[in-house]
Amino acid sequence: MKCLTVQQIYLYLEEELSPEKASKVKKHLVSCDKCRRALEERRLLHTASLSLPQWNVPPNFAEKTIEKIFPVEKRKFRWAPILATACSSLFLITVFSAVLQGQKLPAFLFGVLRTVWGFIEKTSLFAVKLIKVSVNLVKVLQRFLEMISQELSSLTGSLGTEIQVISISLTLILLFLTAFIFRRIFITGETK
Amino acid sequence: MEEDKKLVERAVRGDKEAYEMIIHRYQQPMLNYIGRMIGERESALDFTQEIFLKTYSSLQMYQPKYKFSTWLFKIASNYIIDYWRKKKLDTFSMDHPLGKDDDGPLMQIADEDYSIPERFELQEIRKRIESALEKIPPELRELFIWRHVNEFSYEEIAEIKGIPVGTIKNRVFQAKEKIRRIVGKQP
Repeated sequence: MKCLTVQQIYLYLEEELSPEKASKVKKHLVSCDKCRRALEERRLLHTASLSLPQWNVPPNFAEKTIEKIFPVEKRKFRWAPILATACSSLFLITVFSAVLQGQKLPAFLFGVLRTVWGFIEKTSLFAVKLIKVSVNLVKVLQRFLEMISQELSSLTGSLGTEIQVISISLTLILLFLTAFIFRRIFITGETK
Repeated sequence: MEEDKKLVERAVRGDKEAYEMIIHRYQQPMLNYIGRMIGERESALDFTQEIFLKTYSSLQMYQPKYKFSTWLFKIASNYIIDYWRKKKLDTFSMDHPLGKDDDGPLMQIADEDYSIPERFELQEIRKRIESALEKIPPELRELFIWRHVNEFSYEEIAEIKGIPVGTIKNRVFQAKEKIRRIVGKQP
């Protein structure tokens, strides 16, 4: 047998040759030092190749990938259906207990309607009173502001033009500085 | 262990757990492959995740007559080629010649053809192989990783690439010969 080709050596190493061919190669290797050394060198490389280190997969890799495929939907807490269910349940329980206690249903419902109407009436009266108080408060605030403006005009009248200009400029500078210092709070709402 | 095809069937029906099992099963070989093709850990992890996302969205198109693993790695291989094409890096194709074929597997062994010193420890050779892998053409590197790191059969690799088994074998041997020479030449 002629000397082995590189392909034959690899096929022999990987046990990919037929038994007959493998046996011929084996016989040749006994008698050929060159092919035996070539085989041994490639065997070393082959063994090292089969035991190359694995790349380390993070422990939560699969879970994170799944989260990307199936994003977890945050459930919004909805008040309206809960409130509606609670009110209707309460109403039904009240109706049933009234019926069970021997009350007649139309009379009971009429009573409920009267109670509700009474509640609306009282709430409306309270709302009217609240509006009246608010109007009075606005009037008082208006008088207070008028008083301050009168005081200011009498004060500026007694001062010279130059002093007026200086004081207005100082006030503007002060306002500008305050806005500059607290700009972050005004813009982003951040306190730190 | 539940068969891949059954897990895929469940995953297609929206079974989250089934697809998670598939990821657990293939995350290691996939990262071994992508990591060595890309070279950078963080990008390799992102790519691996992207491939599992892409595979999930294409799950309807999977044909059970093929092995799931070969279908998955076909997607991964195409993904890498696309990435290199977008980056305008040298893309690879099995149809392209690999340049100077001075270490073709059919050649006879030369008299002076010993390149790996016997004094090298296995650990040292492994390190040198890893470094040599970065230097060989990606189309050969890919086949070498599938064969020797992920331990795919030649038939499986042929199915992934859609080319004859004989061609795959020759390419793998060619990769090994290139690596052998680089390992021997490294200082």
